[in-house]
Formats: sequence, structure tokens, C-alpha cells
Amino acid sequence: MRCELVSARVHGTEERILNPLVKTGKGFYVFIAVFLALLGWSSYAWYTQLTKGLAVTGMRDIGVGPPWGLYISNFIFFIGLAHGGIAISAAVRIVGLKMYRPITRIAELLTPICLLMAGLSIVFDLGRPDRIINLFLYYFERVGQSPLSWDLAVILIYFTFSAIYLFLTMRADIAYCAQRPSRRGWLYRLLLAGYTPQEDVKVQKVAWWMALCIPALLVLLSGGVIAWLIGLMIARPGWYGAFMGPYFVTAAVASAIAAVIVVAAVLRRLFKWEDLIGPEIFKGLGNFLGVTLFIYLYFVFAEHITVRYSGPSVTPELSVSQALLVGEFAWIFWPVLILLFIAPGLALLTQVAVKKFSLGTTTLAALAVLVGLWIKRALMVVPPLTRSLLPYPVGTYGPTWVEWSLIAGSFVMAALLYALFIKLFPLMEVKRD
Amino acid sequence: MVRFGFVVDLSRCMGCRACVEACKVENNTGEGVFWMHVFRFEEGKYPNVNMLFVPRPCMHCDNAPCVKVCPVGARYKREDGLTLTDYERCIGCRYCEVSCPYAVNYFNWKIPAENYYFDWKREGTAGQVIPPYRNPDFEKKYGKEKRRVAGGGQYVGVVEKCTWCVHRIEKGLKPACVQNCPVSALHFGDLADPYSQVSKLLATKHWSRLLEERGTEPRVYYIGGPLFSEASREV
Repeated sequence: MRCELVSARVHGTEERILNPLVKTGKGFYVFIAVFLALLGWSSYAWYTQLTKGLAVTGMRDIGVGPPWGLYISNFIFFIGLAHGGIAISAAVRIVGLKMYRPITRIAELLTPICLLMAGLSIVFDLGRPDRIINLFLYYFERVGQSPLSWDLAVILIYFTFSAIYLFLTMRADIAYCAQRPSRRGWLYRLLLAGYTPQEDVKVQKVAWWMALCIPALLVLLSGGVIAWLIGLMIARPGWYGAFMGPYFVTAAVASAIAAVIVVAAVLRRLFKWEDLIGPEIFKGLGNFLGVTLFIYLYFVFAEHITVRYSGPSVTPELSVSQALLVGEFAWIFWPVLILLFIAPGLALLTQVAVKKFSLGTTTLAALAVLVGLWIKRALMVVPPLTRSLLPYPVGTYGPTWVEWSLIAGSFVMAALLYALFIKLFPLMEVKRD
Repeated sequence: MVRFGFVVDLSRCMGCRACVEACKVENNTGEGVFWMHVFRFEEGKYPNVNMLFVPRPCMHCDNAPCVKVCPVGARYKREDGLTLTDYERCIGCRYCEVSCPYAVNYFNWKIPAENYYFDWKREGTAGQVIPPYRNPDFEKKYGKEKRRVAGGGQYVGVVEKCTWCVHRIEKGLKPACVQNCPVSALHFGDLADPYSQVSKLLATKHWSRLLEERGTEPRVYYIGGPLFSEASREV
């Protein structure tokens, strides 16, 4: 009797998890239509850029403007986001944080999608995207020296790795879906090639070993090559130095956790999974985010005190710091720092102190951090490119509608890919042990 | 083995910018692109004021940051020391531009033919003269690598920079800026040949290089006085 009850409840959960695959409401079609329209607009923007050249962006040569702008900062942002999902999933497997198990796939899925969008941002930035094959043709010749080639390598490894990891951990669920009557049976059967129910044990072992490698990849990508992309540039005041690695990892982890909080909160609400994804998950993630934020703020402080202590003689590094604190970027820098970093950080840590948790506050704080870190990435990329070591004029930068449209396009594309996944595969493990 | 080098005599330069002019005419560079640039400074207080002019071509560094960062090998170093850009291989990532301490790289943001001071497409050419962006020398391939490296205004979306007029050097001529300098402030020659003019100048005079401390090993040497300092005001 009791056994039956339990199985009935489990069955009910399975149905609820599979609900998005089976039922598609009107809202979904509206969402798809709106987002496809936005994507069409971005495509038009890209067409404009391809036919007229990058002159339609706000970027310019050094002395006039920054040669890199929002595309590169968007790239760095997406790379940062990519870490969250897979890192949480790795923590669940290695450290045994069972509590976070319901959101592992929701989070894992962010990794390959964000890596794709990061790659896309780089393609937006290229003057000759038609020659992109050269990156691969001359790869072995250049990988010894060019940080951009290192990026390419690590991003491709990371993408392959995270896609395989996601696929492996999904196979049992795909098998479950394949048993059910569905129009997409052919897709499930295709993905299940060579599947036997006995493989699940083996898959768990493989996934464990893969999870063990993930922290190494995180450090390699965000603490390594992405940071070195700019940290090794001796020509750029404010970039050069060993500082960029830890700075980038902290920002990456903060943005990634924030993204997981926001995405999980939205999906929880959308599919009425309030009991499946409990508030304790958000509480744990929120606390972690709060601590990470203050580590990041410490880095911001350390960055500026290091260059400012040398004053009042004006080094190029100091002029970059001046531009941020009192110069032309101050009107963005201070609001971002106070409203999008310090305020959410305090809100998150106050929750811990007074032992009162609010899901709304946590989600809002995470959203603020997400926006803040996107802007902060731009503030990291652009100012050092407007100043130079030789007495050239100070460059100015105003992103144009083309840049905004393409960046919006990258987010829209990410959302569409995520929605497509939701309609094809279960977002949580259907079969629980 | 030839090792090309460039010597600038600061005591001779009078800031006329004839080198800038010559470069633009020779290399067909677009609007706002100055492969040769002259910094102009003012030093001291009235009545003891001094003017200083510092021409800045590409440094063709021996430890060139731009060559290191290029992900496709479009920016490369020739045996004779020229640092050149393969316009047919460049993907336009502008990493070279970001990495250069001297900011000598210029990206073709616009379609080059539409980026001249004079609109050749609309105005037409007088008497069917070849428009400046069709210099046949720039369509040839140079060096033993046989790559398209000479001249400016080549393709949209690629980075271009001073080539020390590789197309002239290969004909045995001097770079256009050196040729056009009315006061012989610019010297160009073979650093490996101890009897060349540049070697003799460097052997007999004090020299310095721009941003020496960045370790790029530039091949442009400045003689005839100190370079600009913190006290120099740009004018």
C-alpha cells in the first residue's frame, strides 16, 4: 500500500517534469514569434555591418576610439556565464552537494549555449568573418604564441567537453522519453544509438571523472587564457599584469551563479516547479554569490589603489583609473559599483545575518549583479583602449545601434536555444535513484 | 643578411610633415590614416621655449608584440626585419592594434575605395587616370614568402600599417618619407652593413628608442637629442 503511494507520487513528478515537452501554451508561440522578430532585426544589423564594414560600429583606431568594444566585452561576459552551470554540476558530483541536484541540468545547459554565444560575439567582432577558416588553417603555426589561438583551443575543448557531459548525463532520460509515445521519437532513438540500460552505471562513473576535470577547465579558461588575452598586452595601461587571472575568475563565478539563480527562478515560476526546486537552493547560491561579490569588490579596490598610489605623476595606468573614477566613465562606474554590486551584495549577506530568506530579493540581486557584471566587463575592455603610452589624443566610444542590436541578438539566440531544449528534453532528471 | 633600420635625427626635424604627405601619396592610405605620424611638443617656459618634433613610423620591432598575438600569422617578420601584414590572410580581429604600444596599426573600418578625401566613385577621374587605390605595385606579391603586403587601401576589414615602403625597397629605393624629407632628418639603410649611413650615424651618436622599457626592440633609432619627457607639452 505504502509502496503504491510512493510510486504514484513519483509518477506525478515525472509527469510534471515532462509537462513542457508535452504541452505548449499560447505564451510559448508568442515568445518564439517575438524573439524571432528580434533575431530578424539583429540579422539586418549584421547585414549592415557586413556590407558597410565595421565603420557602422562605435569602434575606431587608437587615438580616436577603442579598437575593441562591446563585442569583446560581451564575449568575456558569456565566457564567464558558461562556467556556472557546469561548475555547479561538478560540485554536485564531486563534493556530493545533493541539495543542488534538481537544478544541475538547468545550469549545465547554460554552459554550451553561452560558449556558442561567446564564439558568435568574436565572429561579430571580426573585420573579415569570411576568412574565419584561417583561424583553423594556421592554428598549429600560431598556437605557440597567440592568446587568441589559446582561446580558440580552450573554448572548443570546453564546448566539446560540456556538450558530451550534458549528453551523457541525459541519456537515461532520453531513453525514458523514447519509451513514451511522441512525435519526436525518431530524434530520441537517434540520440540513443547504442544505448543499453546497463550503461547508466558506467555513465555515472565517466561523468564523475569528467566532473573532476571541470574545475581545471574553469581555471584554464577564465583564470587563464581569457585573462591572458588582455593581461599579457604590455601596450595597454590597466591591462598588463598578473592580476587579471583571479580578477576574471571571480567575475566569471559571480556572473555564472547569478545567471543560474535567475534562470532557475524563472523556470520554477513558469512551470510551477516550486516544490521541486526548493528555496534552500536559492539560499545557498545567494550566500555564495554575496561572498563572491565582495571578493570581486576587493579586487576592484586593489586594482585602483595599485595604480593610484604612484600619483600624482601621471602614468598611463593612472589616467585609466582617473577616467573610471572621475573621468568620462565615472557616470557609469559609480552607479554600477553602488547599485549593482554593493547594494545586491549587502542585500544577500544581510539575509544571512538576519536569517530571513526572500526568494524575490535573491533573484533581484542576482539580476542586478548580472547586469552589473556585463557593464563592468565593458568598463574593463574599453578605457585602456582609449588611452595609450604615447601622447595620442584620448579616444571616445559610443556604441551604435548595430552593436546593441547584435548584442541583443546574442542574448535572444541564447534564449531561443534554451527554449528549444526545453521543448525537446526534460530539464530535470526524470529518473531519480 | 640585410637588416633594415631607420634613424631619425631629432635635431634636424622641423615638423613640416612632408614625410606624412609623402606616405599618404605613396601608399594611398585612407582618410584619418597616418602610417607616418609626427608628434609635436613644446618644452620650457617663455622666453626659453623649445619645440620638438618626433616622427613616428612603424617601429618594425624585433620583438614585435603584433606578430606574437596574430592568430593567423598574417602579421609576420621577414628575414630583412620588415614586419608586414598579409592583407589576404588577415581576419580583422585587431589584436595587433590592441597589442602595439606605438599604435601604428590602422584598421579599414570602411570600404577603402569609399574612404578617400576625394570621392573617386562619384566625381569620376579626369581623363581616365588610374585612381590612387589601383596602384599596380600594391597588387604584386613580395619577398620569398610571396605575400600581398604593399600599400594601403587594400581590403575592407583588414589591418594595415607602415611597411617601410616594401614595394620601393624591393626596387632599391628608399621609403617615400625618407626620400621626401627636405632636411635629411630621416635615414634608412642596412644596420648589418657597418659602412652604411645608418650604421655610421648610430656608431657616432647617442641614440634612444621609443618606449625602450617595453622590451619590443624597435628598429627606429632617434639621434640628435633626447626624446620627449613628462615635461613636454603636446601641441
